[in-house]
Amino acid sequence: MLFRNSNTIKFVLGVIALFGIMYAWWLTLVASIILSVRYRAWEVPVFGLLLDFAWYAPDLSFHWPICTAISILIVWVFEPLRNRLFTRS
Amino acid sequence: MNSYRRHDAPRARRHLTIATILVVLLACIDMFSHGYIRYLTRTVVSQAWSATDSAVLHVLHMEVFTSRKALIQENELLRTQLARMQEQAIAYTALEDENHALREIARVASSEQGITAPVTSSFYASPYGTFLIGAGSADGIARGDMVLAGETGFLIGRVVHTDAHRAVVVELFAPGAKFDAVINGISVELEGRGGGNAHANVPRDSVIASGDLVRVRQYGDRVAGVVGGVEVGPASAYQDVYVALPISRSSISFVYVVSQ
Repeated sequence: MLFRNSNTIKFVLGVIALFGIMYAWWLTLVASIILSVRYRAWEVPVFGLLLDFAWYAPDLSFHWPICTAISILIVWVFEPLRNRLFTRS
Repeated sequence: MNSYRRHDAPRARRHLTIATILVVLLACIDMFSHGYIRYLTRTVVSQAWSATDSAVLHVLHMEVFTSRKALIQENELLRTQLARMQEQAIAYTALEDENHALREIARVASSEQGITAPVTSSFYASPYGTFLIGAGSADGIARGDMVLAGETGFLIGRVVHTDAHRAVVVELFAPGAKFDAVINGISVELEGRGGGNAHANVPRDSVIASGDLVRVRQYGDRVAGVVGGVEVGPASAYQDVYVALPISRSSISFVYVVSQ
């Protein structure tokens, strides 16, 4: 039951993140942070990559695709927190 | 609270590691394929946005939203009318300035050729201040072309990438973008803040007031914004000038692309 609820939560957050890629990037960021805090979400780096694929171009004031970098950072930075809060001691 | 089963943790970690490596690989593949994966993604995003945008509008017109809908519609109508009047006032000032300059130097203005293109993405989706238009290299658009909007052609951005039938435009006021502009004859360096806004620090004794037009020399002295507000601290040697786009971005459905 709890496993099914977790899948539902991940699915809803994933849909919100995908919606954010098309409409509002901050939705993707918020959903990614929530997913990363709660789960080892492999989807988060994919969302960051999709954001860059959709909106990044080389000739910008941002010289690197920072969304991909930030999404990878977010999901790995929360690893110690996930280990402490969500695994058996 | 223990939400993880112990034996799932290594598998989840392995999935995350594989996903991270795959993401980096895909980014490298895209770089070496000159943006082919980006081209596919933008095609999907453009078409999905066009499709879902009309679906969202359809839902909002359903009966269950009627009473609230009426108020929202009225607000939107009033907001549009106000924005239109403000744009017309600014356009009139811009035209007056242009007329004065033309009379002074007696030059003949030439009509410029350009391409009208539809906007095919949201202005608010991109963290980089970019948006997509439905015309590309096959239609004669090239990197560096200026993108204009509004009745009198306010400069809102430039083309940074073209595919065959799609182009990526970066807003002039994109976050972090810096460029030189002229306000009331004073050269300033504007820094984009995103959302159609920009900021400049100018010397305290510069005469700049709300409503002054912002022109960008490197793009043919085109009007790119209007001063929305000026703030000066009592002990500061500088004053903060806040610039905004003279038209509402959400009202822009088509843009006009001209060569620089």
